[in-house]
Amino acid sequence: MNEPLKLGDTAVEALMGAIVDEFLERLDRGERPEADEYARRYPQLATVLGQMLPALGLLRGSAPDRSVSAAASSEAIRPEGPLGDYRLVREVGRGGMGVVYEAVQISLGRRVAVKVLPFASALDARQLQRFKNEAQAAAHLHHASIVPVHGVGCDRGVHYYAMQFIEGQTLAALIWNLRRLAGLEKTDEAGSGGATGSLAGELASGRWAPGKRRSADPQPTGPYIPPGIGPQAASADTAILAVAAVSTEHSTRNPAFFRTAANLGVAAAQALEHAHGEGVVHRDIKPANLMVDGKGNLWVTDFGLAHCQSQAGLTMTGDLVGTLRYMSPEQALAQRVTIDHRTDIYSLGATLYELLTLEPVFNGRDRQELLRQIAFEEPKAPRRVNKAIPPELETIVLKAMEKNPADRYATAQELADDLERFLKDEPIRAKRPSRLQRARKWGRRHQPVVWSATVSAAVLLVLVAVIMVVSNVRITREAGEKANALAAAKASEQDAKTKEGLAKEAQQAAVENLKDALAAVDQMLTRVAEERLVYAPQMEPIRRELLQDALKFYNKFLLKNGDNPAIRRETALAYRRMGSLHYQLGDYRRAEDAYRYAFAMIDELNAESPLEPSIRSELIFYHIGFSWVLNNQGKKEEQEKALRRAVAVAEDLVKKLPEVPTYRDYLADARNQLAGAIAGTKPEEAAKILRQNLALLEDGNSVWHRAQTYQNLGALLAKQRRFSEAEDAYRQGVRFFEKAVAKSPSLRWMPIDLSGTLQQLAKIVEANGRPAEAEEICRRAVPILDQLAADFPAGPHYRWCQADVHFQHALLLKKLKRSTAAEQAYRRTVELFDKLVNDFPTLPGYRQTAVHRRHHLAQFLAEAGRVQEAQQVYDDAAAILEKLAGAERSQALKMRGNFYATLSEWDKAAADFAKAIELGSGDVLGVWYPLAVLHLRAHRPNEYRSLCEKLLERFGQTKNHWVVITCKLAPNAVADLSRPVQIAEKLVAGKPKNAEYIGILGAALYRKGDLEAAVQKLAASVRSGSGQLGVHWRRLVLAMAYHRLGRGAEAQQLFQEVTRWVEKNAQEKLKEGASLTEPLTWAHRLDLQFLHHEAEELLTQDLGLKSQKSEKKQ
Amino acid sequence: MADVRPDSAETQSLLQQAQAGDPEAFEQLFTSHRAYLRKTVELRLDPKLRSRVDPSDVVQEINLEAFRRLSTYLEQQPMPFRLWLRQIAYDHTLKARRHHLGTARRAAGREVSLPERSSLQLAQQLVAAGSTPSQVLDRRQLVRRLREAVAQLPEADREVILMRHFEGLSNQEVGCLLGMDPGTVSKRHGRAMLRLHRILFEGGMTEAQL
Repeated sequence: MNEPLKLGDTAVEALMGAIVDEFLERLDRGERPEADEYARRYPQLATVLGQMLPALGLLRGSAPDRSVSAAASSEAIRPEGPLGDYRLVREVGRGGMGVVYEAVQISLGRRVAVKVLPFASALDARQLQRFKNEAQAAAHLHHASIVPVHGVGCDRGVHYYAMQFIEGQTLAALIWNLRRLAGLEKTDEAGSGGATGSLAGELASGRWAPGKRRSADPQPTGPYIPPGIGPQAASADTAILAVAAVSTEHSTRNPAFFRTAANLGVAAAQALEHAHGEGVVHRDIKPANLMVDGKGNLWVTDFGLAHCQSQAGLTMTGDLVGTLRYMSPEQALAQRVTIDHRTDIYSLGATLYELLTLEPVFNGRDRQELLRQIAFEEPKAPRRVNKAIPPELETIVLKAMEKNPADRYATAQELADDLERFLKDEPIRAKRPSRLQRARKWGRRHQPVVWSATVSAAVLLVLVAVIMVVSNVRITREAGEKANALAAAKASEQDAKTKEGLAKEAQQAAVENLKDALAAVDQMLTRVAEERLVYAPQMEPIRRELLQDALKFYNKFLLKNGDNPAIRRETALAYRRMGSLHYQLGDYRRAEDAYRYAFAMIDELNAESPLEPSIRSELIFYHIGFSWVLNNQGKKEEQEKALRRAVAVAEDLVKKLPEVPTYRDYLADARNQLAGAIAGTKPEEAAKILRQNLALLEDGNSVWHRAQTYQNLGALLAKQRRFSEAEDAYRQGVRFFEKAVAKSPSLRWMPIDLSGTLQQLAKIVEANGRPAEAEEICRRAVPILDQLAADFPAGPHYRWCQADVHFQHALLLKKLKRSTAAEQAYRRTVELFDKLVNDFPTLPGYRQTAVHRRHHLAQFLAEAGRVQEAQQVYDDAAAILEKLAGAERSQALKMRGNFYATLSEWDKAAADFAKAIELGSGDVLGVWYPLAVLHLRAHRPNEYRSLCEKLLERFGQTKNHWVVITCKLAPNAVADLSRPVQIAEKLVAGKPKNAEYIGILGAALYRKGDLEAAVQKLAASVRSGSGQLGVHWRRLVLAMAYHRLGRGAEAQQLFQEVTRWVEKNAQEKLKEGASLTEPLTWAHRLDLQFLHHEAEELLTQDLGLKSQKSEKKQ
Repeated sequence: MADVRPDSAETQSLLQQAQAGDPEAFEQLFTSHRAYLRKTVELRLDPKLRSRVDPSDVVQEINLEAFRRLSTYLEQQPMPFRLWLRQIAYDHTLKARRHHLGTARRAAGREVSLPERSSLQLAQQLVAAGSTPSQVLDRRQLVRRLREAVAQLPEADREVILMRHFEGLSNQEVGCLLGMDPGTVSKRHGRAMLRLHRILFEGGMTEAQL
């Protein structure tokens, strides 16, 4: 019989296969087949079966999709003989907490349930004492809905817990049966299924609703325990078998069902209230710990066990997922933080939720997923699962389950009271959370925004607090005090005492939890702080607050854990996040420090063993983030180096793992960044890098990255003024962005890149001299942005782009002389900007742009001769302008002054320019120069001179040629006429071949009276200068210089030439050019007029003298 | 006999939406299976490979591949979606493993990364069943022993053990994935159990016995 098996014997293999199949199948059905039975049935395989089969039940526990079967996860050995005062009769249930036996208490002859604690052997003496204390505290609880604990004990190393035997089913089993009845669970084989559903059938049919309790106890029948939902025996009443047949389709929509559920909730809440009043927190309220007996009475069981379980390190077992599902956020995330009674309120809420909906609140299959859900996800509204659920119950359950303990019912009694109000048809106290309303209002379309706007703030704050506590628990007492701020006081004192002692065992668990928590915070931050969708200004305060809180969290985390080698990768990530947070908060110096620490940590990791690809891929983004920090500090060279490192890391990854497409995308990202950074200094290399990217991505799926690369290439080429190549690149960019958009229609923000590229392309096509085509391209971007703005009204970004594209369109239409359409587009852009300013009043720059766009509209109207309407637009803009401050205001004043000047409202214009200077404007060309022109025009030479003195005082040390030009407008602009000459000399020294600069120097010399030198410079300047406006004033100055040197003929000839040009062009070119896009044409025109006038006077005056002289001679 | 379990109602309705052309449905489909796939991939990635291959990347590749083949699948629906994804995952993990480790299938020191906890339970149970309590070994040793045992199995046996026990797939489902009839799977399973037993309790197997 025990002769060694021959391997390779196919008959034996087939038999073994069949046995194992049968065994697994029985396990699946929830049975507990005995290995011994099989050993007896198949003696030839007895040894193997005896050794292998017991393991199978455990293996089965880790099956996905069957978390419910993760039952028998702990080793339990049935003791031989009596256990203390108890004689075990039969096993009636099994759960994460151990095996439950029906037993008889020998001394009293009463029927009890004994729970054997499998993990007790893992506890040390002190912990055992603590467990006993807890159990004894629980044993003192006397309440109609709390399963009385008869005692705890230990016999021959087996620890047990004896309690009253309850004839009934756990709520978990009931829910499971209800699900089955509702067709949500796979139906069992006939036979076992019918009987087990009986209680559920009753519940569903509402037979336990008030006033309908049955008097007769049900008779126990064969035990049936759905896997994992022990702990006590299920019994079913054969008399009510028929009820099971009641269609649940009908009955879980039956109002009586919900009343029954509410009644159960009241009982449970009252039991909890009693316990809480005695200072006992359950900590493990879940359907499996609530029992319903044959009369429909509810019993809360397993008081005093949860603590002990968590200390034995069993939190890591597979069964945790079953328990975790009902844990409050603070408990699930923090494990051993001081937790108060409100955790039970949450868990009861989650339990009632499942009873009402027959679905667990969160369906995560593993620990990580569940933690994330508990921390971040709002439960689906119960009524979305089952419309028949009364709205009041939904409100009550959701209130009990608020993420933030402070938002829940303050006590279990309050919860019980509200449930009773519902039962009595009175109005309930709980208010529907406004969050829910908001979420509904937004609807599903805007989910990402809603998520971050409504959930994140509260959750992150709780989370951050909680996690800080976790790390604190391990380290210091002082931090423990802060924990108290989060959790209420009841249990905390006790906890604080044990904290230090338990720190060691908790360490391993704490590290795990820290990692999970960090990942959660990290994910959170990635979404809240970096998601482009939520980069919305009205969320800016929240976002800033979050960032700062997160920063504090990381700070604390690093302070406590920075030197823990077990979490170095996490530490590096924390530093990186900190760097990124400082960066986003604008503290670049600290950001740089944080990044440097992150790199140090990575180096340390690297020194130990080669970095895993996942770390190396993260490292790419470390470098990229670091490069942004450097860029903002003006450290261009270091920025470039950082990006080169990013590219190097990415290149290496791609080389080693060419089959991972993500790494190619990362490389493309890094190269795009690098190309962008060096576009100004090394355009050739930048172009080469981008072309490398295109080759890299050639046959990949990364259309988006290709599109981006083309877009960058287009920008680079445009910068180099290689317009036709740029146009090609942009066209490719458009093509691939279109593909990318088609590929990921769910990424609603993605078309923004497409529209942006279309706009760039339109600009280039316009620059290439094809405005009609440009207009067509621009027109394609319009509906895209209209849609985006409609999709994301909460943030300004898309709306700004929308307003911008209408503006670009307007300019193009104007150019095409399609006036009606252009006006429409102008008005649309003004309207959109007004709304933006209205919705986001604090946003910098928007007001100014709004004013600017109005000015364009006004200008457009003025040019069309509709001066009245133009004035009106300006008057409307005045209100916005009044609210502007500082530089923005002076900018807007500059624009308005210019506008007034084009309307020949000279005084108003001068007032605006003067005001702008008063506000500190440093715009010499746009403000100082036109004001100087206006002073001269109004014959205010003294004001002109004092303006020029101020100008020199402020800009005398700079190389601004407009300073010199302003000073050359009239003779003796400043007292020290050598200073403009010095500025001009510096200009020429910088660009010795620039004809304009040479001419400016000549003019300055002329004003200084250095006529020979002036003539030399001016003549050179005029010779090499082009035939534009600028050349004419230089010729006029030259003419005057000739004249004063006595070279009258040359002077006359030049003067006549200029006069002819002015007469010819004055009407058309100069007037027509008066537009905001070339804002100062009027000033240049006046400038030229002044010089012309001055020259005319000088020349004719001398002509007069000459003629007088000649007359005299004659 | 356990059959091929259909997809959950949610998955089925998502499939219908995907078929009706709702582009978001696929993303949701994949999201809801991501944890399962990741676990599947992790189970099979040799720890040595871990330093070079990130399971997330493999999962992403599976995503891509599934996306490419989705329309064909929707037309025919030869098996539940879950299994179909699982099949792609299987192909990809094999590919990754072969690519990185070459074809030396029985490289010395090969390990299968069983989930820490389940293997611990299994090991404890095996020891408890087959030896006296005094022989309780260090937990870590137990885990290692079990890992080694499963890793020593030939690939086909190992797959059956992983699929039947750790993934909870039925014979039909395993058959679907490996292209065998359920009877053969059952036989394989029996053989795998016998071999595992031999490795664990009878001092291992010789090359010839494999």
